[in-house]
Amino acid sequence: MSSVLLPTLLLVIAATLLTLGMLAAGMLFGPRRTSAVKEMPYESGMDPIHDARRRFDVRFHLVAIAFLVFDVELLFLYPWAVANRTWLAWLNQANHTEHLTAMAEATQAVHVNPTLVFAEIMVFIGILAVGYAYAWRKGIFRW
Amino acid sequence: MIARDKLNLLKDKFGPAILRADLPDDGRLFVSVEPSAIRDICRYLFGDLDARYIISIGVDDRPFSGKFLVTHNFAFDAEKLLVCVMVHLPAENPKLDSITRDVPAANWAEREIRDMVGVEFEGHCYPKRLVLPDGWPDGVHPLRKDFAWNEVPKDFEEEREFEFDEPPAGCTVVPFGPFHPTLDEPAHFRLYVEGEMVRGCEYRGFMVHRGIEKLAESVLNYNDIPMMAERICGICGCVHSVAYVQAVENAAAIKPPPRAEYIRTIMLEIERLHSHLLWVGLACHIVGFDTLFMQSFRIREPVMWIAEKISGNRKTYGLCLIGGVRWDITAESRAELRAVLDKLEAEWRPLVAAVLKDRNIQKRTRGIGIADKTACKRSGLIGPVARAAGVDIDCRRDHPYAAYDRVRFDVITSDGGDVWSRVVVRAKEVFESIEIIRQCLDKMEPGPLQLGIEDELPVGRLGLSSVEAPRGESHHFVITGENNRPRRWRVRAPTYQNLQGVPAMIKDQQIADMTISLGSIDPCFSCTDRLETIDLKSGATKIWTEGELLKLVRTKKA
Amino acid sequence: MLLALIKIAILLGGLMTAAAYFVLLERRMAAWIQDRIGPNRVGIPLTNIRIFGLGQPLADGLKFILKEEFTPSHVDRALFVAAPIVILVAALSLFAVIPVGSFLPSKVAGHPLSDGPIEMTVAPGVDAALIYVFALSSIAVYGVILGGWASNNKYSFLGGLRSSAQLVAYEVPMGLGILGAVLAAGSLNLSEIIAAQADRGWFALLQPLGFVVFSVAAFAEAARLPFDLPECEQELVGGYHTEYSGMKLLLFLVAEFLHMITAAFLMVILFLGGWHFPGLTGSSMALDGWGHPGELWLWGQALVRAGVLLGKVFCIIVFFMLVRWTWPRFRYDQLMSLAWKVMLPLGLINFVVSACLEQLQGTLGYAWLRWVAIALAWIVLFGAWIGVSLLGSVTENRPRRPAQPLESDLRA
Repeated sequence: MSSVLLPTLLLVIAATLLTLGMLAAGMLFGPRRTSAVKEMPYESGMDPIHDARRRFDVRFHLVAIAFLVFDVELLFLYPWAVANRTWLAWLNQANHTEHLTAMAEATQAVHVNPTLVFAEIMVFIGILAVGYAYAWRKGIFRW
Repeated sequence: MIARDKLNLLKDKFGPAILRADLPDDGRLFVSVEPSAIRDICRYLFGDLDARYIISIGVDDRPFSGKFLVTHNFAFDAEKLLVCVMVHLPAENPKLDSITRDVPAANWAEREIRDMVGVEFEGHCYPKRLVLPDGWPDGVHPLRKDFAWNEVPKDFEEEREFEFDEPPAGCTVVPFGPFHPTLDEPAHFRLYVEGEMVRGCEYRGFMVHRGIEKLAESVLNYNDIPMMAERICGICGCVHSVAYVQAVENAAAIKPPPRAEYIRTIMLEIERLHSHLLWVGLACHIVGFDTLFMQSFRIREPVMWIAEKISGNRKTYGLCLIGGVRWDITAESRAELRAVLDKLEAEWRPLVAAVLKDRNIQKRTRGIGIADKTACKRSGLIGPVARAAGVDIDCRRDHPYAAYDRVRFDVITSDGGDVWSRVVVRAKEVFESIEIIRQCLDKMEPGPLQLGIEDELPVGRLGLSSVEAPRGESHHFVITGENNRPRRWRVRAPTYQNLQGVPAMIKDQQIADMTISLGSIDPCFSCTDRLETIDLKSGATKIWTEGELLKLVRTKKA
Repeated sequence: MLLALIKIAILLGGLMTAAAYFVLLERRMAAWIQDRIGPNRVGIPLTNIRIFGLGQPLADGLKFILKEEFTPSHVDRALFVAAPIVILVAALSLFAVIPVGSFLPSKVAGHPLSDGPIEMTVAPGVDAALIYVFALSSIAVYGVILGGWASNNKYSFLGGLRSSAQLVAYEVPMGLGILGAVLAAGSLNLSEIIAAQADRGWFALLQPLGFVVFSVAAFAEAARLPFDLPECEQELVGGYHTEYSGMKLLLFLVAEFLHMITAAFLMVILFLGGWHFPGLTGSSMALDGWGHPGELWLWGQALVRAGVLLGKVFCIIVFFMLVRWTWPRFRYDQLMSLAWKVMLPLGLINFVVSACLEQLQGTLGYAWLRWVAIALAWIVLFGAWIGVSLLGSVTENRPRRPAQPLESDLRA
């Protein structure tokens, strides 16, 4: 296993063990007293009326969709955001640091025009903004 | 001569329906009318003459006159007049036209009379049980004189549940109370929620009945009752004791000595101070601003201390007797009170500034829980709720009592009718209260604290008293009686009316605004729950041991 | 492997202790702000030594252990137990890639500890570290919604829905804020992002608007006041953890505190220069920057860097606490409109502006452009501020209805 994944996995395991251990400690040392009323769902002291899982506001659904739209589109921007500096440094030799030069050399084989990509990204965001305005007008964000 | 003018107006319009009238002084008018004309007369008073509805009272008067008595009380605030419209009903099958179609504010009062005294109101818009506990058998009315104060109806059904209305289609029912973190006292709102919007609600309260009125009529005597009256409310107890004492004094035409009046005024204002400070704190807590909650409680504490210094108690001052007061304000406590007021004023100013300038608080409270002038009139809303809607009423000025006619103060009003305006009104009233106390301290002359009352109080007289509690007008009605105790004593706490305005305030609002809207009337459920003689579930005046309670809890619904 | 395990032990121990003691700190600060005394009693057991209430967290922990581990019968048992586990494990695992300093030297008194300098991260060199952080912090939503759903209680259900909608809504502005930092650093690796800031100035300076957007979103993601709607007892009692008690409740509470600590770390690492402090820590990533690679000096430098980073985190957390006691809570609709109608467009503006400035600098390459860019970024921040206050009425929600008499009112 790679040196990057192993410690991460170890941490996840350790965290799980810690959590389970805490729960187990609670189970071991805590008292147990149950009663009919204690088993009832808390509804402000009244006997519960019908199931809790009922129809809920459709706006939660809209929020979920809006989140998917914007968050996924944001993810498309990450690769560019990471790569852009390298391209720019490669484009502009006068402005580079050693670290960046190395990376620029590695990507030199790929022929990109940073300015063109930048324009494309801006168009992408423009489309996103139009979608945002549309969603606003449609009242998705009205709560 | 206002009272006579109003009487003449009534006589001109209704002539033979007016049976008898009594004008003990210019601030009170008692009119006895034909039962058949009651609806028209009330409509005329409430609609055409623009009177404010106060309360309706049912009395079982059968042992004395062989009849039931129902009164509807109205106030002409600008003219400093309280009107009491009375009807006598036959002992068998008492019935009366409901006035709720013209005076919606009478909704609860009529239902309460129906529950407690057993008078049927024909044409009531919502004749549902209001006060009696769920298991109470129909047709048994605890405030009737032939029902003993400690009696348990034989067919009390432990398991009977209250029948709630069906929620409107598409709405989820979200219960609010009786045990909810923001409610300090039990009351149940059944909210009909559609998404996040409240579309309506049903209220079921009166959960901690203590039978105070029944006890007063059956067990206590005149000078016991002020102590009991103080225990009606956890915050504004002194108001109830003063209002009761004044109602009796009004009935028996007693005038307490001036120094006693000043002391009553001072204690009432001390009570208003700590009540308003408490409320501003709680309102901040409700909108999630715990720092101001803590600060306002810190500022409030010296007020409690000075009250303890004067009366021996932080609360329940045990102040009033018929015809006087029990505690004096000594020179020492006077100086200390002044110091407390100075400190309070200095500390309250920045806190008020912090509240009033906070944009988040404004966003949370502006336009929320609206009750405008019309709503106030319809539901009979009073106190800071009404004043925040621009309704300029204040019993201290309109129906002067104690020493309020000798001090100068402003009645604070605002015009938003929303929670924000109520915050503003209450915050500013604190300064007025401070001024009132200072004036009282200046003007108070040495003199006796109590009036020597040698004779027995006259029997069968009626007395009304309105006292401006921190939450609004507290109205007490007394019929003097035999055995050194009143025949009937009815307490109408401000929350009783204000609560009736809550459903309209929260309708079509977010569920998140529910708590602050309800909180904005400064609800005091204990004030409204004062009637029942019998413990809700156990059926008797039984003291439960802890073990028994645990057992009860565990076996329920097993 | 051994090194990783040691790091994990230190990290988990440190985090749990920190969470416990931040609770104490928070309570003491609340007491200080509210003119109260606060918890100052619990000290060393069986003695009268109080040491400012430092024993309080231990006592609290012990109390939670001794509480009944209760699962009501009406709940969905598996999900009910899984929810707090999921949320806490995610909150802890997230720290795998978060650096708590820069490097430790590889030798102690001449004895080699490791092949090279030890990075103060559990899993060093993860290139997609930010994506990992982002992914794991999103798992909190699952914990919340699972808890709310499994509880089978109206308050929990509504609370869970609200909380998840809140977390989801603020993830977008948070992502936009991060995107700005990534753009400026050209990397997703947190150590490299710090190094870039040590090199070229803190990103809070370069992208003030991005910093503001990110901070607000971080507050909301950590569900701290004024965004603590999930646990706003005044409306929905305990929100999604209404039905929880004992140790399971503790897991939720610890997770919430860890979210705050994470948010503080991210604010420091992404925008406030991480371990970098001008004139104190050197500016290059490697430790031998000042040409004096004596071992003692190296250790000193490493500790100073860790101290600077943790000190910044501590300040941010204190700031979190100050805010909590200074502001009332938003209402739910205000919170949502702030996310969608204010923070999202501001995040977009920040991103577009910084992308353009970055591009301009990169293509033209004049050194003075850098100062112009900073000035422009601050102008944009103040412009945005003015714009938001002017457009308050646009983002405000629904007009209120006037009170009208309604038949159903009479039902009261």
